[in-house]
Amino acid sequence: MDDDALLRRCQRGDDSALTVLVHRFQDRIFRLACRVLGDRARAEDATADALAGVWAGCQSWRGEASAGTWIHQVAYRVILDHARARRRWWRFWNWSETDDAGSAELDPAVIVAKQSERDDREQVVAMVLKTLSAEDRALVQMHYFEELPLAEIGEILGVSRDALKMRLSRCRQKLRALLGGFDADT
Amino acid sequence: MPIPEADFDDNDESLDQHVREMIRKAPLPQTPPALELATRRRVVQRRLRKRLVIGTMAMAVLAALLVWTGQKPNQVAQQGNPVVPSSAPDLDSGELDSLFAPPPVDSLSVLDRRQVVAIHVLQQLEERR
Repeated sequence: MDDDALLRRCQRGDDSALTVLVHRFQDRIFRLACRVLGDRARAEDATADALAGVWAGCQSWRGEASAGTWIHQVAYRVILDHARARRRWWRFWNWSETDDAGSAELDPAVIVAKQSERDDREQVVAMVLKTLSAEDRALVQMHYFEELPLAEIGEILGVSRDALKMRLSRCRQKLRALLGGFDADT
Repeated sequence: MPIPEADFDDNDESLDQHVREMIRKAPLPQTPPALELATRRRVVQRRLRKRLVIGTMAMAVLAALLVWTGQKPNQVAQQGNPVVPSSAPDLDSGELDSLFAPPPVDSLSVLDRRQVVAIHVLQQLEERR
C-alpha cells in the first residue's frame, strides 16, 4: 500500500491505517524532531502530536502534494510549534539568558577543544547545529541526513526556490566555519 | 511548485560531503517503542476536546436562546396594559367607587349648626345663673 492509499484510508477513519501510518513515518518524524528540538523526551512528545495531527487533519489533504510530502509538512509545522513554545516559555522564565535555539554564538575555541577529544563528535555536531535556527536545523536534517530531493524540501518547508537556495547556502557557510576543520573520520 | 534540482549547484561538493558525513555519523536516539500508544492517546484527547468544545458551544447557544425568549414576554408586559390576574374576584363598579373614594368629611353647614347650638346652650346656662 503506497502513502496515498494509506492517507485515503485514514480519511475514511480506518483505525488500522493509524497503526500503519505511525509505523511508517515515526522514525523519520522522530529524527527530525530530535534534530530540531535537541531533546529526546520533547521529540517524542512532538512526534506523537505530529502523527495525531496528521490523523486529525487528513481530511484537508486534497492530493495536490504527494501524501508523504503532505505528512511531512504537517509534522514540520507541529515540530516548529513545539520549538517556538519552548522559546516563549524560556524567555518568560529566564529572560536574561540568551535564546538557545538559533541566536546563540558558538565560541570557536570550544569547538577546537572538543576536536581534541575522540568521542565528542556527537556533542560537536549538536553544538554546531544549535547555532542554527529551528527552521535551518530542519533543512539541514532533510538535506544532509534524509537526503530528500530539494524540490520536496521546498514543498515541505513552504519556501520558494530562491529562499531555499539562500538558506541552504547560509547554513553551509556557517557549518563550513564551525565544522570545516573537524575530521569526520575521528 | 517543484524546484528543479539543476538550480542547486554545489560549488564545494567536498565540503558538502564532509558536512553530510559529520551529520550522518552523529547518532540520533532510537525511536521510542510506545509511540503508537502515545499517538492513540492524543487522538482520543483531541476527539474529547473537540466534543467538549462543541458541547460547550451548544450549551451557550441554548442558554442564550432561553434568556432571549424569556426576556421577550416581559418586555411586552411592561410596554402594554397592566395585566389583571385571572384569579382576582369580580367586583361591581359601585364597590370599586366606594373602595377608592376619599374618606367622608362633615360639611361646613353641619359644623356651623353645631356651633350655633353650642353657643345657645352656653347662653342659657349663663342666664340661669
